[in-house]
Amino acid sequence: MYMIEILRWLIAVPLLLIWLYFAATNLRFLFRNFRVGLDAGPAPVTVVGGLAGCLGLLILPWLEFADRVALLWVPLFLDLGSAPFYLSMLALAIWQRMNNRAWRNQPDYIEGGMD
Amino acid sequence: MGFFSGEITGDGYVPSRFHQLIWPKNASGNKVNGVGDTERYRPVQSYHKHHPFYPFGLAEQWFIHKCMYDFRISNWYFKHWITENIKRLGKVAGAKQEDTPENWTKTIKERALADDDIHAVGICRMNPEWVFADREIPRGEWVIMLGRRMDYDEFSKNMKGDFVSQCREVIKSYVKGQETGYRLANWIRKQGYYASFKGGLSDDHLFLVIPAAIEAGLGQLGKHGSMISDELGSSFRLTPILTDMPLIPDKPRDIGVDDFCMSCRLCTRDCPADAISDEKQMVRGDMKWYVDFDKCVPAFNELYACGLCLAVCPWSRPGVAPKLTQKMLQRREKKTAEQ
Repeated sequence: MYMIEILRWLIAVPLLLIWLYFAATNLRFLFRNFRVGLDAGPAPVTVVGGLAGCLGLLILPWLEFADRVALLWVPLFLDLGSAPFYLSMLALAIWQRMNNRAWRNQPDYIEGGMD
Repeated sequence: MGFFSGEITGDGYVPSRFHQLIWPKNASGNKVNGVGDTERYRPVQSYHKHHPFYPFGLAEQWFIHKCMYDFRISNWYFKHWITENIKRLGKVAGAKQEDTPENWTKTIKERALADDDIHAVGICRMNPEWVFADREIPRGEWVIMLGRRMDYDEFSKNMKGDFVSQCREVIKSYVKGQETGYRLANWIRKQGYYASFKGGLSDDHLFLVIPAAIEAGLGQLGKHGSMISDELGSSFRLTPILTDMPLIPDKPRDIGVDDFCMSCRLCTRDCPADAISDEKQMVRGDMKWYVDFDKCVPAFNELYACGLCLAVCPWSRPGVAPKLTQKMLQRREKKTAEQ
């Protein structure tokens, strides 16, 4: 039992460190894009961080399993490349479908010019 | 045609239902690219912005996800990420090494071509007209353009329906070019001159690389909208390095591409999206070959960067490009002599 716990720590900690790394990197990328003001800049690393965090949390020999499951939102939402990225994509897709003039602020793209 | 898979039909490419959902209704990449505009102006980046918040952003994210998380490709994507985000270029040395522009040019070319992954190199002066309109003119008076030949056998598997292999070859070529660019830029910095490199997958695109590669004498624009070189044909990828090191520019060269493309219809016929025109078009004040963005990109996204136009191009086949160049130039000379 003791060996298994050590093994779980050994697997979970690197996974949580991966999550931390990508969460920090994605945050750094966001700030860099705002600071430099580039319309194109580093893309967030999606999924990887959140997934590693969830796995790490599930393997971690700490708290009851149900409690750890209840905490799964933490790695998913604290990594900008995971839940926040996909939720913003979903919102964008819905907005784009609902709004014919979705790109009013980007007239370069609108066929036939602005009306 | 399924929810996540499109279909190649006789009338062009029908994107998947998912792609149709995320494709913007009123936006046109052709408009951004300035098709039909007779006025000359700096380009606007129409794609590969790497964020979803522009009209084609969702479609681009779909493409990135398809490639990045496909395990047959992702290792190369990962290598690119390391070079882009973890490796850092060294500081520019305090004392400048002095030499003549001729010698620097010779050394740079020898160093670039000594790398097994670089097969062509050209130099040109940076032209602000190539820089995207919303970007500042980057530092570096000179552009060193590196060309890496793709493995034709791998690349041309797309003609048999294996688009993943060609996509892997494209990304691998960009990564290899990027790694050489990194080494060469670092070497230039050690000599006391500013240098930075951009790979094809770079996060912040600053300027159009094809006009720079044409100016650097690497080749000409083909009907399929990509470069054709007399050494590497159509199947190669570019990596630019910007530097202040004094260099001697190469000259643009006519290798007979226009004459050839006027009569060849292979890419036009085989393009699954029917996006390639037989006529040159006016794009931001220049008559040139142009691929219809709005038709090409859905197929590009869903067919792992497609690349069929490059694979079917006769110039792409190994060993053909130098012979074709010779043939086209001889034919032209003959024609001129007859007149």
